Amino acid sequence: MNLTISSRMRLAVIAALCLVAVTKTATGQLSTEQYIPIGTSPGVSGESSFIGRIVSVDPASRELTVEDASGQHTVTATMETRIWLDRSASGRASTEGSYADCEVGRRTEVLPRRDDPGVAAWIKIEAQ
Amino acid sequence: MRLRNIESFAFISSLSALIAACVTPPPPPEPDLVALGEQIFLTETFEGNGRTCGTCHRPTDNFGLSPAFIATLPDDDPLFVAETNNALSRNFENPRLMREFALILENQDGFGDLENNFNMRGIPHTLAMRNSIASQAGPQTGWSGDGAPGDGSLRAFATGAVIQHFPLTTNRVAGVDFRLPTGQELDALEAFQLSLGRQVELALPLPLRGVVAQRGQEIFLDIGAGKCNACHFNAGANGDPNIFGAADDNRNFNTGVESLPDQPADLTGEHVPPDDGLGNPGNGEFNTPPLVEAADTGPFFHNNSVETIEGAVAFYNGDAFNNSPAGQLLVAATGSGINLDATQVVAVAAFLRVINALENIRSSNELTGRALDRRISRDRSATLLERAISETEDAGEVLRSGGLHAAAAGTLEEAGGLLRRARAGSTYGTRERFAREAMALQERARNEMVEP
Repeated sequence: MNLTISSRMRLAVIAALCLVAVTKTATGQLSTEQYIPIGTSPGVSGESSFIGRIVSVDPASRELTVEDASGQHTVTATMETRIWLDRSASGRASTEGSYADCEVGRRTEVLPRRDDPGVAAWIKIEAQ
Repeated sequence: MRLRNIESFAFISSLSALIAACVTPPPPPEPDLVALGEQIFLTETFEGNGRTCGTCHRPTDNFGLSPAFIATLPDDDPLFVAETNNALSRNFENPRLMREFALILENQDGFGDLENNFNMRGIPHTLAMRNSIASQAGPQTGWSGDGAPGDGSLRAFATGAVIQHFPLTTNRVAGVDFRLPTGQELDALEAFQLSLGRQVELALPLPLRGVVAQRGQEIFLDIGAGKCNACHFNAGANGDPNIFGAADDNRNFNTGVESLPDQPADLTGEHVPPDDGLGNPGNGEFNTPPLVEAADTGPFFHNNSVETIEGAVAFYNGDAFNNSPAGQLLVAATGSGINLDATQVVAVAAFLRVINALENIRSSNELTGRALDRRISRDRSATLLERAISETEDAGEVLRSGGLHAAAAGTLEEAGGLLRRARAGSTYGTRERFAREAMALQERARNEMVEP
């Protein structure tokens, strides 16, 4: 039985297979996340997201500032940031939103990216 | 003096234990959270379309679902809700692919275009997850490792499953089409799922008795031949820490399964979009499953494209794998792809069949032992024995269908009969007698396959 591999081969394996190391997304599955109302995302709401009202927006930089009990948080919504309109309070399905929906005064939940907390992974905005 | 002290200590200890026994209720027969999780898993519909977690993850089908099991279900089973609920008749399931190949419709890349944007995937078992989902990148759940919303954990997985599989309509409005699991329910479901199946990894090589399985194990471990152990360390779901540098590291790979020609679902002519795996757009990668549990949980791969364990091993010989990103990395690292002859393919499969049978025996005897706990109800005991019977039957079947250990397969058949008698026993004494005989027979069968 050949249970040992040469150091050279092992190094080659390590080098090659490291290329396919961690490639997982920075957040959980986004398709079903869309349908989870603000404040109820498991392991996220109350832990790594912030929930509050939008107090300012800057369309030029695509920044928005949200105020919650702990203070104000500013994040950038990049083109990769998913934005959803949470319409569950009125019994309607959640829909895709856009940065234009980030209006001052609206209730929102924002999840910062784990690898870049200044950028939002996703934003849920309560529909009017 | 010392002896007297020991005696005094023993007396006081006994007295303390006696007092404790009088004032402290006995511990519950099973951890409360696990028991609650099982109840939720098997009975809770979350006010949706009638499905439970157990609708697709059947306890007597290894907490997965195969076409053979589906064929035994009545037409009003909640699994077939797309055939009975008009609101779910379009873009929720493909009944033909479900019945013929146990494929479930998933909208991994979003719900915006239900007509065209979906994947057809098999239903993975939920066994041995304690050893098979941890990775440096966080928990890996589902076929592409990104099955859970929220924080991506196993705990959060149920929330996504309810949204995907439980709704009354495809509007998927929380509070209307279903209710979301509570935090306590998620805790309990996670505890239950982690309690299922194997809790520790094997330590290969095993002292196997059968020469074919023994040879299969050698090929499996040989980085110059089968190369299987690199990504399925100890026949589990994690990479070899000697190669990848970290223990408990479950990984995703693009092994080229999607490139297989003549996939059964495609042959039907039904609309089956290519599955791009992890992410949106996907990178073609799928998650590495454990192999100990493989032989009795086919069909194999994320799309149920291969029916037999021999076929699953042979996949790694073909162009689809050897030309895939993972296959090419293996070529670059070891100088060659995987190229096993038929006898070697069968030998590796025989090894996988034997370790699967051994795990079935372990599991069956554990379940039977729990069924004999006097503190549980008769119904609960019968439920546990039902699962034990299923494990024992699987053990015999995986051996028989591989032409392996005929004597052990016969012994297991006898053990299965005794377990059925135990389940039907009218008194505890009867149940215990048959159950203990069955457990002893299963140990005998085990010893026919592996040295003690």
